[in-house]
Amino acid sequence: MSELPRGLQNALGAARRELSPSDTDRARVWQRLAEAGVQTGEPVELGARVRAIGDAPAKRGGTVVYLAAASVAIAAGVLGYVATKSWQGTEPGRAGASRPNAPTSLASVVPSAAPSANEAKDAGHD
Amino acid sequence: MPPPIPPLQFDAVYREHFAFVWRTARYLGVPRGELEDVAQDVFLTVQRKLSDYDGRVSVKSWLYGFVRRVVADHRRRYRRKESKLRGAPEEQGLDAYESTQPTPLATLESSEALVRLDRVLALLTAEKRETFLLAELEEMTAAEIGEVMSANVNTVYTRLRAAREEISVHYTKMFGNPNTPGGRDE
Repeated sequence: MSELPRGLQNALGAARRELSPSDTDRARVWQRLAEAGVQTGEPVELGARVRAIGDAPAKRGGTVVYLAAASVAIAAGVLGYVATKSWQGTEPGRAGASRPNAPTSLASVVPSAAPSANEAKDAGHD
Repeated sequence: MPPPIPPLQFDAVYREHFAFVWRTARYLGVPRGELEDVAQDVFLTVQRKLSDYDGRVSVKSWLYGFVRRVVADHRRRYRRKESKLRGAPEEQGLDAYESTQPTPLATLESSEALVRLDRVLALLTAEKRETFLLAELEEMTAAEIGEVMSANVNTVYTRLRAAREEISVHYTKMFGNPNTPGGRDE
């Protein structure tokens, strides 16, 4: 095949360089793919992952169990306290059953809803 | 019985062929600002189809098909948007673009070399231009070009030979030849 003119060869070289992506372009698209949910990490061998979990130090496992047990105990304590309190509130004769200060009207919970002295006076004029 | 094809790894395809996908999209006319979208869409398709690759065509040829389709989709969307804005009738796909436009290199780039290349490429038919660019810019083999253009190898060689001759003549006429006295080239 005939040889291309030198200028054309140069132009092709320039085109190849100028049309090529930069490292930033490459990294940006990679990032976008990762954000779109593509598994872009180095391929992980499943067996290796399972081995890694199996080889985790026993100390770490013990810590996880201890923390889980502590969390359950705290949650149980809080639930027990709340249950006891609510039971005391509904049982006749128990402290808190009468609840003399229980809100009965909007004015009692929203101070601004109670008519002020001036408003009451104005209402009287009407 | 041929040996089984080892499965493609996404990371490896990306690492080895990202530049090819990017350049191909560029010379198929994707504006610089849309290249990331196109490249992302191509590799999303690659990820979906990774397990379908059977090794019957080269990875480059396989990717080229995706690039062409994604670029055509983008162009269709772009033209639809444009025609809505201007109230103009919509053109159809990549072929319509290729028949009316030379190559987009000059519109994308400003270097003198690319402007010259674009001017001579504009004088070739779409098929010869594509064959020439795949061979000279991407260094694809005749077999690979045949795969992506659905042509046999002899046709590819014929087109490539004709493209090289035509482009050399046009280039020398327009810009001179440094190898001949009075050549205007660098």
